[in-house]
Amino acid sequence: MISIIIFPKSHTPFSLVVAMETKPSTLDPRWIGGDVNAQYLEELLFLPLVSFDPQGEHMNVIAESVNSQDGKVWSIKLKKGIFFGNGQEITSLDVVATYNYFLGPLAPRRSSFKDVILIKEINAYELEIHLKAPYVAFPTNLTIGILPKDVLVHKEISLNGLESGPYKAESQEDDKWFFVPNPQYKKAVNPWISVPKIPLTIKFIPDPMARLSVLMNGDADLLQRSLDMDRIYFLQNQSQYHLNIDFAPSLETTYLAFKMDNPHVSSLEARRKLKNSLNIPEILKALFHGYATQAKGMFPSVFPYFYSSHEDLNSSGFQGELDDITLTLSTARESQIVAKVLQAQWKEAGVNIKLTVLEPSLFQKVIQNGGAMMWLGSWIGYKDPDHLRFVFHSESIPPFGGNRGRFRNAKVDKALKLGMVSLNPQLRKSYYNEAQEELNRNVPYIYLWHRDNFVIMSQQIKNFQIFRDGRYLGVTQVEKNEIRS
Amino acid sequence: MKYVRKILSLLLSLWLLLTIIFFLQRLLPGNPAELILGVDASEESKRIWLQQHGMDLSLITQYQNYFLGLLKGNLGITYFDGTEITPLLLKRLGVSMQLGFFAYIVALLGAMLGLYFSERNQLLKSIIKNAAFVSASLPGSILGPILIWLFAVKFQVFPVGGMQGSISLILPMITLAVPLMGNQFRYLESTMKDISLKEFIRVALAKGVNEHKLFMTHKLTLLIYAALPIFSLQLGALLTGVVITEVVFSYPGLGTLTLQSVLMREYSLASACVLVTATMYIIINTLNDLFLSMKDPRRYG
Repeated sequence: MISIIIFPKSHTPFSLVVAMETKPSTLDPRWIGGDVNAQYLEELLFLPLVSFDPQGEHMNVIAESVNSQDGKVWSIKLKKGIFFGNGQEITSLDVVATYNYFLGPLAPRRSSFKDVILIKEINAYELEIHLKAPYVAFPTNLTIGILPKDVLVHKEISLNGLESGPYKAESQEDDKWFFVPNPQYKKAVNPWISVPKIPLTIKFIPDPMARLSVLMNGDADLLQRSLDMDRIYFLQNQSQYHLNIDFAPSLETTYLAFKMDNPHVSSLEARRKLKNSLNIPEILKALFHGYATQAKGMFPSVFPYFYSSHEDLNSSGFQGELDDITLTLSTARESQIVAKVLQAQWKEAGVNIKLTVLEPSLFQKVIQNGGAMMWLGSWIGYKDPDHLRFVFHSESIPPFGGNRGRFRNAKVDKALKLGMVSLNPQLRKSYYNEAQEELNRNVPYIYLWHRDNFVIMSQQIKNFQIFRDGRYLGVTQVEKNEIRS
Repeated sequence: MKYVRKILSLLLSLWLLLTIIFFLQRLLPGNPAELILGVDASEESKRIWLQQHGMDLSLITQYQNYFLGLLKGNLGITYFDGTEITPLLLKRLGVSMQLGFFAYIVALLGAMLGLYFSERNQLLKSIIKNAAFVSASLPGSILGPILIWLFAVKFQVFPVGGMQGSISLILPMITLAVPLMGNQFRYLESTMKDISLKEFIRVALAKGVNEHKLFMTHKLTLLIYAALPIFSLQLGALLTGVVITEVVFSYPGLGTLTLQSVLMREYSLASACVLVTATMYIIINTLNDLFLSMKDPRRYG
C-alpha cells in the first residue's frame, strides 16, 4: 500500500521503445564527449551540418554543400528554412558560434577542431573554416549538433524546447527518456532523417538478460548491437516472441595489437607466428554463429578503402620459443570469452599466453600509457581511411592519437600524410593501399574479424533502417502497429 | 556518557571511511578530465579542466576542501553536466530505501512464519529447512534473471524492470528478500533450538503451557534479543544486495547510481553515495547497540 502511495504509476505511452545498455551521461551537446550513444541521440535532437547514411557515407544535413579547393579552406553553404524549436532559423552565425564554443579549451570534443584556425561567417547561409594544414577528412568532424548562438553565450540557458532535429526531449527519467516529434521539424532535411510519426522512448537496461527479456515480453520494440551473439542465436529459433532480426555489415574491426618496442613481441617473426597459430574461421563459426567476417585488414570489404594484401605471409620463419607473453583485455564478457579461445588456440600451437583482465577505464589507461604487451580491442564507426593515420602514424603516439602500439614506419607515415591531403579520390586510394600493404607486412595488428551490426525488432514495427555505424537515425522512419501480432 | 562515546565512535568511523574512499578513488588510474574531454584531449585542456574543478591542488588541500564542503552540507555537483548531487542522491536513496525496507520486512515475516510452522510438524520442518538452505544460497544475480524469465517473459505478470509504478517493486523485492529470508530462518532456527533447551522453557512445557502461547510470549522475546545484532548486520548485506538487484532490474536507485559514478570517475558523487550508505549502516548498528544496552545493561557495564 505504502508503495502504491509513494510510487506514481508511470505508463510508457504509445511510442517506439528502444532498449539501450548504458545511459548517456548527458543529452546536452555542450557537454557530450566521446560517448557514442550520446552522439547518436544528439543528432535526433540537434541537427548537425553533416552525418552519415546507412552505408556510412557522408551525407549533408543542415549543410547544402561542403567544398574545398585545397583541403585547407572549407566553404560550407547552409540549407534555408531549418529552424530551432523556438522558431528561429538556423544561420551561419549559429554554426560559427557552435564551432567557436568547441574551440574553447574545456569543450569536450575540442580535439575534432584542434587544427581549425578561423571560422568565418560569409553571409547568413555561408561560412568558411580555415585549417592550419590541408585535411581532406575534415568534414567527418562536422557532426556536432548546431545550437542557437545565445545558449553558447549564456550557458545556463536550458536547451529544452530549442531542438532543431526530428524529436524534442519531453522528459528524462532515471531509467528512461521520452522524445516526442518536434513540431518545428516539418520537412525532412534529407531522405534518411524523416519527420517521425510516433514518439520515441529510450529505456536503459544494463543487464543483458533483462534487455533480452524486454524484447521477448513486448516491453521494448527495438534493440541494436548491445546483445551477445549467443542470445541472438537463441532468439532466432524462438518464433513465439514475434521478433525479427536483421543483420548488416558494420564498420567495426576487432584486433590484437602489439606494443612494437616490447622485446617479447618486437620481432616480426614472433608476431607472424602468433598470427598464423590462430584459426579465425573456427572462432567465427563457434562464437559468432557466422555473423562476422574474417578481417583481411583494418577495413571490411564494404568499405571503399578495403585492401587485402597480395603477399603470402603464411610462413613466419620463427624458430625460437615464445614465452612470457601476456594478452591484456577489458572485463567485457565477449572479450573474456574470445581471449580464452585465443589462448587455447595458441596453446595448441605450443605458445603459452597469460591473460590480464582489467576494468574498462583502467584498460584504456594502461594501453594508452604503453603498459600492455599485446591487447584485444576493437575500432568502431570509422568513416574515412584517415583513421589509419590516427592508429598508425608516428605522430599519433599517445597522448596525441591512437597509435598505442608505438608503431613507427617512414613509408607508412609518408603514405598516410599524402592520403590526408590528397583531393583526388583515385590517388588517395593508392596512398592508402600502399600504407595498408606496408602495415600487413609489418603486422603491428592481427586483424581478427568484422562483426555484423544487428537489430532485433518487434514485428509491430516496420521500416527501420540499420546504419552500418549503429546510429539511430533509422527510428525517424519507423511505423508501429498498436496491436501486437 | 556511554551514548556520547558511542556517537563519537560513530563519527570517527564515518570520517575514517570517507578518508579511505577519498584517497582510494584518486589512486585509480584515469581522471574525470580524460573521460569528459576525451583521451586525445591536449594536456593543456586537461590541466585547465582540473584547475577549474580544484583537482590540480595537492591531495591534502583537495581533502580539506572536500571536508569543509561536507561540513557545510555541500556535496558538490556532477562533473559531466553540473547537476546538484544532494537532490539526485535523496531521490535515489528514497527509491533504494523502499526496496530494501520492503524486502527486509518480507524476509523477516517469511523467516518467522517458517519458524512458526517448522515448530509444529516434523515433515514441514524438514521441507522448510531445505527450502531455506536453497534460498540462502541463491544470489540475486541468479535469482533475478530466473524471476524475470518466469514472471516477466513467460507469464507476463510483472514488468522486466525500470520504474513502472508499484508493480515494478515486486520482482526486485523478492530477489532481495529470498536469500535474506533463508539466512534469517537458518539463524532463527538454530537460536530457537538453544532457547528450547533453556530450563524455564522446559519447566513451562512440563507444566502444560500451550505451545502456541509459549512461542508467542517467551520464545519470541528471547529470539528477538538474540537475533537483533545479526539482523542489523544483515541490513549491511542488504545494502550490497541492492546494488546487484538494481542493476539486474534496471532499478534507478542508489545502487545503480553508485556503480555509474565509480565507472564515470565522478569522485564527488561516488563519495556522496558511499557516505550515505555507510552512514545508514553505521547508524543502524549504533541504534542496535544502544537498544540492546538499554535492555541488557550487562553489555556496556
